Amino acid sequence: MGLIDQAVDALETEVDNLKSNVKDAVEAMNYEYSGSLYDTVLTTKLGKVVGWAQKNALWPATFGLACCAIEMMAMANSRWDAARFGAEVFRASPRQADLMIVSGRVSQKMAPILKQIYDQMPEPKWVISMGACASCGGVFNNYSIVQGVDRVVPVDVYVPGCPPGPEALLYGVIKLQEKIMMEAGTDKAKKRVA
Amino acid sequence: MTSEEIIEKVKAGLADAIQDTDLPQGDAVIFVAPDSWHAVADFLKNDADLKFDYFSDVRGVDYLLEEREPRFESVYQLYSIDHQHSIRVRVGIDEDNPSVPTVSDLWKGALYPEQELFDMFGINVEGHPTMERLIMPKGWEGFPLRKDYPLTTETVTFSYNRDFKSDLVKSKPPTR
Repeated sequence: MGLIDQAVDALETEVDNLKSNVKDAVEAMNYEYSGSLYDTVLTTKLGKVVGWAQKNALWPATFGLACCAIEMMAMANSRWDAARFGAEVFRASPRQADLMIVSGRVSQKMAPILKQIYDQMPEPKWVISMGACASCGGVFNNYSIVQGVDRVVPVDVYVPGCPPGPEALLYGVIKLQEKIMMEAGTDKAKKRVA
Repeated sequence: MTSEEIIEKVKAGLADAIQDTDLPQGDAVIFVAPDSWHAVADFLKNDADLKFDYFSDVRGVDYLLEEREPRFESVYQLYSIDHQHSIRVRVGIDEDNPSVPTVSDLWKGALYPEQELFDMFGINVEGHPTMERLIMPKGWEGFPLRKDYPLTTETVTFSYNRDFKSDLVKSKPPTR
């Protein structure tokens, strides 16, 4: 063991220290640099932004069929306040609406009218089937009632209940918002406006 | 007038047109054939003592399950606003080509009830100005309140029997 070996060891240790110092410095710089980038630049997908905008401005068509419509109206009033979720603007014209709440039993005579209203709504559009009657015919298992509105229009969210309370319908609206956000930017969302 | 007096009066005025009379729970009821129904109605409305000026309702009956002759019956409920008495007229109608004369020329209020009678029972009301569907959609087949009309058009997937339910689910028509 000579002096030269000791000097070599000391040099190697010094080099290792320098290397780790540089590495720490680079990491710190990276962290600082990236942080400043995230503070100033927002990256996302366009589809997600569009979906976010759509889900927070669901405009239902003014379209009540039965006793569920009373609960639907209650959902819009100040006590339950659907405005918190951007779904309070009931439009009198289906051409200004993008959400159809089928609130009640659909008779065979009403089915073509419901289909026409659905066709008049601009895309993208969603359908909530509210209550047992709209979902499956409910207690009205007879010749005059359509056994589930999904025979006529594609349904996104089924809300159970007879009738469902305003809070249940609000939960359905929230579920629909989640669905819109999940679909946003995917092919499914593109198909809706195709 | 009491119900007994009404029946006496009607019998005196229309002896040959009245088939039978009845007093169920104090109500005056007369049985009339479809051919003489319009003449009877004219008498009931225009006679000074009876003066049935208010047409309350018309109902249809299908006696298919009771195997009674004739099968159909249309029941008219008349009321006199002046005398405050009422009468029920039961018109038996045959199964083959069921038809009954209209009384909407006497009481305007009979227009829609008679149209509903046709809509629900398929009883053709002769002389009615608009003999078409009222409640059911235009082009509907069958008459829903007849006893041989099926109550349901499709079996729904609801049953407490699990095996039966799984069969129902398999045969359920596709949804969109």
